[in-house]
Amino acid sequence: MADAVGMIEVEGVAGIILGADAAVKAADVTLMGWESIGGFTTLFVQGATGDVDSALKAGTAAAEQVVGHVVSAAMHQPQAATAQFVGFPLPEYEQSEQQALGLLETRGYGAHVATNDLMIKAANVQIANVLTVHNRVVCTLVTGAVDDVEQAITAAQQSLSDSEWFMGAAVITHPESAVVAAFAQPPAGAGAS
Amino acid sequence: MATAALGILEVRGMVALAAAVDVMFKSASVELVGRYQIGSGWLTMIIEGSTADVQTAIDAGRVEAADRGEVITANVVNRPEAALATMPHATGVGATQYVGSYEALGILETKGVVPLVAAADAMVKAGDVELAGWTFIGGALVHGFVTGSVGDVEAAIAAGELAARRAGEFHGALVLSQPEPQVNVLFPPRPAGEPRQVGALGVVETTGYVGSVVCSDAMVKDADIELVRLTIGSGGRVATLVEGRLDEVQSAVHNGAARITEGAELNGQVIISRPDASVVAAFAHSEPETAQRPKAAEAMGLVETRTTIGLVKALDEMLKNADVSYEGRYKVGYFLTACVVRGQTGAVETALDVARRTVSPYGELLAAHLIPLPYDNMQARLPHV
Repeated sequence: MADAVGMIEVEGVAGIILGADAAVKAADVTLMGWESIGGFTTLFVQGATGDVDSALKAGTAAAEQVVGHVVSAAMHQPQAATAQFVGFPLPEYEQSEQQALGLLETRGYGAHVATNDLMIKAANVQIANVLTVHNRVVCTLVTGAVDDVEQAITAAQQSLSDSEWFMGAAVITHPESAVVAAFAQPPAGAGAS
Repeated sequence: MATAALGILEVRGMVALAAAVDVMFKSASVELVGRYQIGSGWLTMIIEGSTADVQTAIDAGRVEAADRGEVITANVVNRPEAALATMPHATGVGATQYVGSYEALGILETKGVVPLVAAADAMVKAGDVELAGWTFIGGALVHGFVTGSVGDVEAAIAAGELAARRAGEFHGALVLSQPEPQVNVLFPPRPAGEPRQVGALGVVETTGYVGSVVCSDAMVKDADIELVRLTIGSGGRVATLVEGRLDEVQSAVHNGAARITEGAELNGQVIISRPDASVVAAFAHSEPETAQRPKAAEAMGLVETRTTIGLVKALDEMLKNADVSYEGRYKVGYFLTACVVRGQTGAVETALDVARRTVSPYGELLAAHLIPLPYDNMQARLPHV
């Protein structure tokens, strides 16, 4: 067990995807995994105490791009049982060559069928995953070149601008391999209930 | 051949969806290609066909669903991209398709399992209908399907609605006479148990895991009943089913409900005397006890929070500051998560005090509860290990 474990919790999943990428880029921490308890989703990282603190700071700021309320905490010298709380540990992964990862989060599934069609028609992007994390939250992840992903996400955001169910959208350039492995590879870690 | 158009209809509730599906397939020549549900009772059906047919079907389905409930999305995508076939709905319409034949179908939907159990018993007693199954779709919405002749199903649904309203919250009901065959994909799983006669069935429904454990503990200690199912629920609610002689079940439900305090809200309770054997089969089939249950003689400490961080911080502090060990966790869903620690009564009390002090900066503490001497027959059924 590492010196410290850092946690970031938000509503939906887009916030912790942004948070995970920023956390891993900001300090020497490793992504342990993530889990959803229905509505709220939590990210776990581990490393030396100082690194975890820096990672949490960067991760929280990044998550705030798409969600208003972010809870974070560090545990120093955590007990072994803590590791059991990482509900969805990372699968084996290789170095990712993705140039950009686009996120589109709404409540409801139906809207994603139409907007995913729109994104593929608007730019050269691939649907990497469609995550559902309880409480009606659905997040589509698309990959491609930076310009393409930006164009696709902008088009989707415009088409959803009037929707009361729109939650957030963002583009991550050069996403960390661990983040791609944790979120952008189906099957999704969390099913709905 | 490329698909000309996809139609998407997302609604809240099974009554709204079933009514819409029947109308969609009566109004146009379309195919069912997928379904997906995301919790909170939100259900999506995807159809395909010519643009005109899909548009007609979606328009008809939207109107019908809006009439019966709530429409979230109704959309038509022309010349859909092939890549949409990687989306979750494309795995198909599910395997629970009903294969029998029937004249009419009745669907009754409630909020919470208590009114549904009451309604199911009233339905099968009011008409010559078969209880085909029931299930949760999230957001505490539950529904049951009955089949039979039109007259019997109508009588059953009328009696079921009355019973549901008396026992709790009624959400909606529907009778479809000779529905389109596509409605068959919506059937819930068939009842898993064997039909049995029991004296009485009691159901207590609470919010959260800790409430249900506290209630179950009180019920087994206070009355001669058998716990048949624990922790079935959605939308944060958890129901406990007990069976036994009527007076014992009455006493158990009364005492169990009275013990639910400390934030764990009581959502409902019902006692059914001489339930129909098919209702027992549908709701009160015993779940297998998990192997290697620790029959711990130690006290049990239960902590439930509305954030994972609150729970993990509380657990870490409990383990650091009190002589307790971690036994397991249970995710209720809908912003509720719980964990269980074990130790001597004094140590568990210390641990729970630590938990109460730790959680608040990170989220709401729903419950922190001590059970000094949990009974084996309850412990054997707890799903947190």
